[in-house]
This record gives sequence, structure tokens and C-alpha cells, in this order.
Amino acid sequence: MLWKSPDEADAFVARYADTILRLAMTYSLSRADAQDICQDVFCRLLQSDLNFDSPAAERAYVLRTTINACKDLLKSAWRRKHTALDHASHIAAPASPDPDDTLLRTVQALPLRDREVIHLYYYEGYDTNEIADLLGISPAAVRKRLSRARDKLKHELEGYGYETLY
Amino acid sequence: MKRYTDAINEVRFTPEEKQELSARLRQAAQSAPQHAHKSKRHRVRRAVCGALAAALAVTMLTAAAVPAFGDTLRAFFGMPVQSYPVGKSVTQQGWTFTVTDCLADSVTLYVALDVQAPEGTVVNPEDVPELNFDWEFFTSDHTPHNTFSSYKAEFVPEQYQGGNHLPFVITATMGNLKDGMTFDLTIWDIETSEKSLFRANNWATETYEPVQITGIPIEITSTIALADGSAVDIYGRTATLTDLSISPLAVTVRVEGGSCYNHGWVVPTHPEYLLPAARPLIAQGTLENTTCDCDFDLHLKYKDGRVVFIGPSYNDEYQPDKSIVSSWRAGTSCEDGVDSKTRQPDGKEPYVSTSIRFAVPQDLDQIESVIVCGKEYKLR
Repeated sequence: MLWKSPDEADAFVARYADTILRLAMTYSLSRADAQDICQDVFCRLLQSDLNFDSPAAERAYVLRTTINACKDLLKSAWRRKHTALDHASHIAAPASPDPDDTLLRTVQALPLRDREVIHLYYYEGYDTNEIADLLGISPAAVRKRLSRARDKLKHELEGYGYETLY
Repeated sequence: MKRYTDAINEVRFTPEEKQELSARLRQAAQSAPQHAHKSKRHRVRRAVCGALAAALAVTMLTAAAVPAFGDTLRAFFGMPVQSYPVGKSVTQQGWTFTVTDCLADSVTLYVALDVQAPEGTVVNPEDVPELNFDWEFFTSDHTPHNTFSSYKAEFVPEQYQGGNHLPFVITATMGNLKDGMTFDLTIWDIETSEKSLFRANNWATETYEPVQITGIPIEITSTIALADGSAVDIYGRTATLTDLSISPLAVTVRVEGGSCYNHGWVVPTHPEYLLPAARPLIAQGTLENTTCDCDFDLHLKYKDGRVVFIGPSYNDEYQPDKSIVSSWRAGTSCEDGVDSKTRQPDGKEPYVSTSIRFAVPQDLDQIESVIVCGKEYKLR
């Protein structure tokens, strides 16, 4: 599909806004940050003349652009000075803690590098080679991060029936 | 508990937010030329920065040298240390990995690692490279030594000279390290926030084999054992001191039997060191095992007369001297001999043990004694 008109904003929001919000949450970014990223990604699509040969290729482009935008935001000087990156008070997740959300909160407490692979693997459904391409790291490093994250979750969630959580 | 996918699915923009977002996107897209201009400027700026960094890197390449033995650990601690030389190297796909030296006692390990990237590799030290690694330990007869460990690798910016030599120190808390043991180090990748340095420098991932440096020796630094089987006042009565050892890297103490039995259910010796959450339980006399945090009262007495609290403490208000004690605990463990549910004896030998890691290596010649729960044990 080729994105070429500002009037396609509705279609873009319907298709990708929630996906971008969820990924932004993985990086502990706010809903406002996620909206900025939506705007950035949409404008890039319009300016790029990219014509994707499949919906999967387009989705991968959107995710990769979102990941880069999230990392740029985290690295910005203002944020480094003013925001504790792992503090979750302002993040995109629902504000009221739900006791049923133990797993979500435990995943969010993982280091960022572990969180992003968990999200891409278990939620977005990418395999380790695809995640390696999205993140620009080696497949072995992805597998290592996944294994490390699983170990941490298993340790934290012992007694909750960890194996059935995903 | 909700599955991860179900919980994440509940995170979404409201219909009103989506309406506003659509309007905003439409408006932004209509003024797209401005965005394009901004984005182009950004790319130019990045390109200039990249060119400057590359020029700097090329300039510095000739100046950067393999760190001499001891340099990286000296830079890491900010002082000279008595490490032992290793000098084991592996070269793979144009990268050379060298364990230059190590420093170890029975519960702590520091490993200095120099990574020589291919020429022309540019590293932005502000985007701290992270070493992705694993390791496996072996006894002197090469039996796997399965021990609890926690570890991390840190880039040492003080030792980085701007070239393609990347200095790292791996720090670990181990269990029961001994002279003659060895370990194999497996390096999977070096990552920055944006990319894998291996991958960015033409590491052939199709034939990817992790880097392995094998047979790295363990040599335990001088350690002084002070335990004499004497009685120590703890938890209102006494227990037997079965281990008290001090090295330049850590203090380890263990008491067994006596008042260690049922110690989760008695008033702690030093409630002020413990988690504030335990205070109401103590006040109400409704103790639980949550009050047990390996309740030692440890001090170091220096020959110049200083007496320094080294912990352990689980209370943010009452902290040991951080110029001497690392904020990374070296580990505690205990058994109180009581089943937590039935509160009946569980047949396990009761004990309390803790290790305190020093922030920087200590000169044992300057230490007079270790004081355990008010009882002094002299080093000489």
C-alpha cells in the first residue's frame, strides 16, 4: 500500500494508533509521547513514497520507526534531566492498578532491553530473527535477552502458574 | 491473573482521543513540507556529528593502545589494585577479546576485559556499550561448579581513549570460589541503544558463533579468617560464629545454632536497620518472618581509630558508609529451622549469613578489627 494523502489519517489511526501506544508503553512513554510518535510515523509514510509489497512489511516499517522514535525520545537531553525512565507514574498504561495485572506490571518492571523483546515476541508475534532485524541486534542477542527475561519473570511470578501466562 | 496479551490489549486510545489524533495528523500532514525541512536539517546535523566522530576516531586510533595489565581495574576503582594477570585472548571476525586480569575472593570476582573492535569502529561513549555475556565455572578437576551468582558488565569510560579498544569490567557475586577453579566466558554481543556493534561492523550473523574465552583461572586474594567458634550476641541470646573472613574485597560472616532458631519470630537485635515495614509488626508483637533480614551489626575498626558501620541494613534511613561499602550487596541467606506456615520445627539447621562487598578494595594493613554484634575480632 502507498500512503499518499492526509485524508488517510483516519485509516492510519485505526490501523496503527493503538499498536504505537502499546509499544510506547513498553518504553515507559506517555500517551502524549505516543501521539507525537503517531504523527511522526504518519508524516514519514506520506513523505517517503514507500510502497510496501505486503501489510506485514508495512507493519514492520511502522514498528521499526516507532522503536527508533521511542529511543530518540528516551535519549533526548530534556528527558534525561527531567524524567526517571523507569518510573511508571505517567506511562501509557491504565492509571488504576488492577490486581489482575500482576504480569503486565512485572513485565514493565523488567529492564528496557528485556521488555522490548518480550513485547515484540509475545504480543507482536515476531520470531527472534525478525526481532533482530527490528532492533538491529544479533539473533543470538535476542534469544539471550528472551531467555534472561523469562528467567526473571519465572522468578518473580513463582506460584502464579507462570507457564500459562502468555 | 491476566495473560500478557489480554492486559496489553486493554491499553488503547479512547474514541475521542482517536478523533483528535486523526485531526491532528491530517493537519500535520498538510504542512508536511515544514516537517520535511526539519527532518532534513536533523539528518545533516547527524551527518556532521558522524563525520566529526569518525575523524576523531581515525585520529585517536593511532593513539589508542591495548591497556596494560591492571590499567582497567585501576581506572574502574580509581585506585591501584593488586589483581592477577590472565592475558587470555580470542580473535574472531576481526574482533579481539582479551581478559587482561582479574581480582577475586571467595564471594566476589572482578574481570577486566579489553575488546579491540575492527579499525574504524566508532563508539560514542555517551551511548554506553553493553556487553551481553554468559559464563560457566568449573572446579579444579573441571566439574561444573553450579553456584548462585549475580553479575553485570560495565563499560569503563575513564579508561576509554576514544579509539577501537573498549574496556569493560565484569563484576560478580559468587558462591564459594576457590583457588584452582576456572571459568569460561561467552560473549554474545556488544550493544548500544541503537544497534549491535558486532552487526554494525560486518559480523557475519549467518555463521554466528559466540566468542568463547576458556580456562580463565581463579586466584583468590589474601583472605584472613577470624572465626573462632565463639558465641555472638544476636536475637536476644547467643549463636556460634562459624565464619568470619575479610579480604580486600568483602567481609563474610555466618553464625549458626542457638538464637538463630526461630529468629524470624523474635524481636530483632537491631530493628533500626531493618525495613520500616517490620516496625509495626515489632510494636504489635505480631512478628513474621519478614522481620528477618540477616540482622547482623557489623563495624570495621581502622588502625587510625575510625569505627565504620558496614551494615547490613535494609533501611534507607540507616545506611552503611557508601565510600566503603558497595550499594550492591554481596548476598545474605538464613534458615530459622521453623516451617513458615505451621510454625513447627522443619528440621533444617538454623543459621544466618551475610557478605558485605566493599566499594573499593580495602588495605587490610589499615584495619584493626571487625566488630560483630558488639564483639571485636582483631585481624592480627
